[in-house]
Amino acid sequence: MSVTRRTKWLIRLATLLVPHWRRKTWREEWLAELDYATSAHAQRGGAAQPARMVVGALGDAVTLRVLAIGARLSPRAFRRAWQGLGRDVRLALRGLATAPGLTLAIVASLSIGLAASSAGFSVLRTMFFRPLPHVQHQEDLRSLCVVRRESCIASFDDYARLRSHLDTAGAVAAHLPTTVAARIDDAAFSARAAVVSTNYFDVLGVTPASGRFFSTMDEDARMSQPVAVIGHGLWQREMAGRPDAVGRHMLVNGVAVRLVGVAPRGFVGVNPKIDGYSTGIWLPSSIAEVAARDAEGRPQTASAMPPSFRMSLVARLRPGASADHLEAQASSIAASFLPDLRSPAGLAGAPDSRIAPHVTVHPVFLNDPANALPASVAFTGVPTIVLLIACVNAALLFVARASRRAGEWRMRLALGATRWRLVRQMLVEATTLTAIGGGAGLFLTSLLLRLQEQLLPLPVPLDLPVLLYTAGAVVCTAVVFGIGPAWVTATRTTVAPDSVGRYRPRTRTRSGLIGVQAALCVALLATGTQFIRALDQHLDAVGISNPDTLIVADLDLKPLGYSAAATEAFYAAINTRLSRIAGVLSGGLSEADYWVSGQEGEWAQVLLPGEGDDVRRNSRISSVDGALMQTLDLELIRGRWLPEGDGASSTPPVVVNEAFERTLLEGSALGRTLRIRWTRSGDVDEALAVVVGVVAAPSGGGRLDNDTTPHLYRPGARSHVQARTLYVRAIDVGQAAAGIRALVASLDNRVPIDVMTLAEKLGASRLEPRWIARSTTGLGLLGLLLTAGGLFGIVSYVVVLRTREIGVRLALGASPRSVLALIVRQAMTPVTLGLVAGSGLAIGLGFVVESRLYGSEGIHPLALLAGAVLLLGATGLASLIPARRASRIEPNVALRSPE
Amino acid sequence: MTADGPALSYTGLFVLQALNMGYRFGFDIMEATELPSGTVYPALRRLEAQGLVTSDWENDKQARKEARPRRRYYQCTAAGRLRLKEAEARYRALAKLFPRRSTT
Repeated sequence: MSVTRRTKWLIRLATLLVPHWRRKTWREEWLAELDYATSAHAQRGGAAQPARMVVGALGDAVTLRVLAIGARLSPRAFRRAWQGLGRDVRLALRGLATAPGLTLAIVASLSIGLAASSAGFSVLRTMFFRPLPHVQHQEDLRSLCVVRRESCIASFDDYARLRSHLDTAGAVAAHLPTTVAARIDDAAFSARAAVVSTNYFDVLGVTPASGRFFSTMDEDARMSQPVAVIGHGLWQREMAGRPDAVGRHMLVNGVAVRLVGVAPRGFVGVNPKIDGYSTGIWLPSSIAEVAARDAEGRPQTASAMPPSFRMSLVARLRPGASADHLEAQASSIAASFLPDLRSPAGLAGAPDSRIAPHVTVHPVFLNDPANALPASVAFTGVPTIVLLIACVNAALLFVARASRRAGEWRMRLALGATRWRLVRQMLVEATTLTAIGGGAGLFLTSLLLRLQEQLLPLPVPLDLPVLLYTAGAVVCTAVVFGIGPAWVTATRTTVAPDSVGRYRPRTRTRSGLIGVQAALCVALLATGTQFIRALDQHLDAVGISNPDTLIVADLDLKPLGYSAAATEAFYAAINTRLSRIAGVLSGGLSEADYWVSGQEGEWAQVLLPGEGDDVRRNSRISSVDGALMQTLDLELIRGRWLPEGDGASSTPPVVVNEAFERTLLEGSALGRTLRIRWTRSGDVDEALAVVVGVVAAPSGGGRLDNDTTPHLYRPGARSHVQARTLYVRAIDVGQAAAGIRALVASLDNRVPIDVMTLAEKLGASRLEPRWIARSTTGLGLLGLLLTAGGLFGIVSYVVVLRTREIGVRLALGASPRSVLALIVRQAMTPVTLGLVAGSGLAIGLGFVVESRLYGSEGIHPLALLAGAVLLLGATGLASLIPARRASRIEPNVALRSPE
Repeated sequence: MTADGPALSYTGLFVLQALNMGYRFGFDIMEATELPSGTVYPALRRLEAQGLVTSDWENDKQARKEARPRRRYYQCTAAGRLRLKEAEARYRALAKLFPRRSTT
């Protein structure tokens, strides 16, 4: 390419910077100049300087653009552009009031989208970017990990040494989460607790809501004056927020402790993911033995506590100290007192630096923001898609409304209004609608956040950042949903009467959007239905005919330091006196909690006499007391029940389920002698047992005794487990529950007991999946509403645009029925295509849900069918209304219509 | 009588003076003032925006006769000439900068 040609191209490129009304003449002028310069230089025998010409053209183009912007931004021009804005707002409000249905539909659509978006942002912010509640200068806090043999294990002794030697780098505190049996007045309950060093709250910089935190005085007082700090939630729940709580006493694991302070509301410590979000009691480490128990249930003092207790350490950097400094100092201290395991006795070879004792430091977060990406997608991405769908819908409805006002626009243009005035009017209306939608959305957000608190134990506040986010979303929404209709109206409306008729009534984009909405909607509906179905199946599959009358109560004597004999005496007393309680039909105890995942009983190896230990034949094993098997509705199909008093015999009787007989034994189990081996606390127990009965679940399987898991029931007298579950079949649930509470209190009023029916327990335990299932279905229904609303808007719009065409069809002999069919068919085509795509999506999602949710079986055809029918029904109805309007068009009126 | 408006830059004055002396289109002015195109054109645009200069395309016939693209001719408005007169009173040397163009 010659230099001149290249220069010409560059000048043409620079034309893009020139205001469009001047581009043509500008280009011509510059090309002429270039031509003249080239010929002039040629005449003089010199070379033209094309690069300078290009730079000159570029400067000229920029100057013209700047002058144009300046002219537009001049105060006079600005005033002129926005003159009469108040009148536009009044006109917008009046216009919106005249079409209340459409206004309501747009506002509802926008408010739902904005609420979903704001709530998602709020949860994300709370989870990842919010500082730990009430902790001062979180950036100066570091969690310490004392590395022993590649594991992060610290003892109280490690804490004491680090605390006394870490002088310049930081102040260390220690905490150990645990669970205690507590009692305030007459109410005994189980609570999350933490044993903490006395400087714990000082290191975190927390201020008490009432009273005080721990001091060195409490360290010295030890068990002579045991003290505790209570959490705000527990104070509200168990003491009704009484102002005189400080100074009162409560029982913790049977020990009376004096409450010295109340932690501030929302305080969750520094490691809530491990410690739990609901720590209710803090005890100083000087009385650690009150709350800390080893595996055998023996109390442990802080100084004697082995590293296996895994105490957490947290340090605050002193002013001027860096994290590296802290790490180096702590590591050198750890190396001085921890045994060097790099060259263990008897092992030759080079020392392994990975197992050298050292300390690593890590920043303290509620959740590490580095891991926020997946949650960001879930909590902002999905709601943003909902918001976008809502915007598209609102825009479509808005266009539908604008198309009905084509006459008004033409008149305004004919009277001398500029196109900018039309755009402005539409933008004002869009902003007004979005502002109303934003207000309603904020109200919905607050409701959503209240629901959210059930899932996330931290309060999710509706604070300034959330308000700013919502305001930003409102502005963006107004632009996104207002600009399209405004542009269409302003650019395509002319004074000529048939101008609006030149719109293309069907476009691929519009159909595509409707199809995408339909696909998302059917996928969400089907997945939500699958979720709910799986959960209901779960609830139905309890293997119990009436879970409303089966009372389940968990008892745990371990925190109270019961001996094995005392434990047996306690549970024997319950067994004996249970049947005397009014309202109780039958009942019994087991060490297994059949409806809590992971606690359905231990696993045992089942061997036949004479077999080697390597035979892999495993079964669930659980002990049962009293009339437990009858209470749990198990059906005896052969043999007999476990008799009372067989516990002392040399070959105790056991009962097995059908699955045990079918999968582990060849032939009948009845009368067979088995060798049972199982491990408890590291020791292997082995016993012989004889099968006396075979049981089956009442109605074809269930969670308790399903068709696939072998289960062996043995008499409970041999078990010394301190935590057991009491099952009671009640005639009168209220009376029986009160009787059980009174019975336990009469035996030992320190024992916490939570009495609830199986139905209540299952309901409470699956709160999270239920919430997700209902949200998914809710979003599906929301999508359905939005899709139906959007389709209604589009079809109405199309009918208005095609009035003349429909009139011609009718005038040429088309029947109203065929017009109706035409409109509905064209409207439903993208919906049907979306439905097919959505079904594929739902089946794909079904596999994901199946792998994540116990008891789920993939998308059920009925769920998919129900979703499809619902979608087709709703959208069919939405298209039928405007289609009926179209079929009733009078041909002679329509032919005179300008549209 | 004095003209209102923002003060003129030296470049603006040169360009205005060149126009007054009979140099009428971009390249011509660039040659007279010895200023580059990146200076002359923006100055022309600003003078035009201030109403001191107007521009118009030359007759098509003339361009065809000389077998070249048509040119855009610039000329001083009355306001432009007034501003130039004021400037000449202040800067005596301005009038002597360029010789008057003999032909166009």
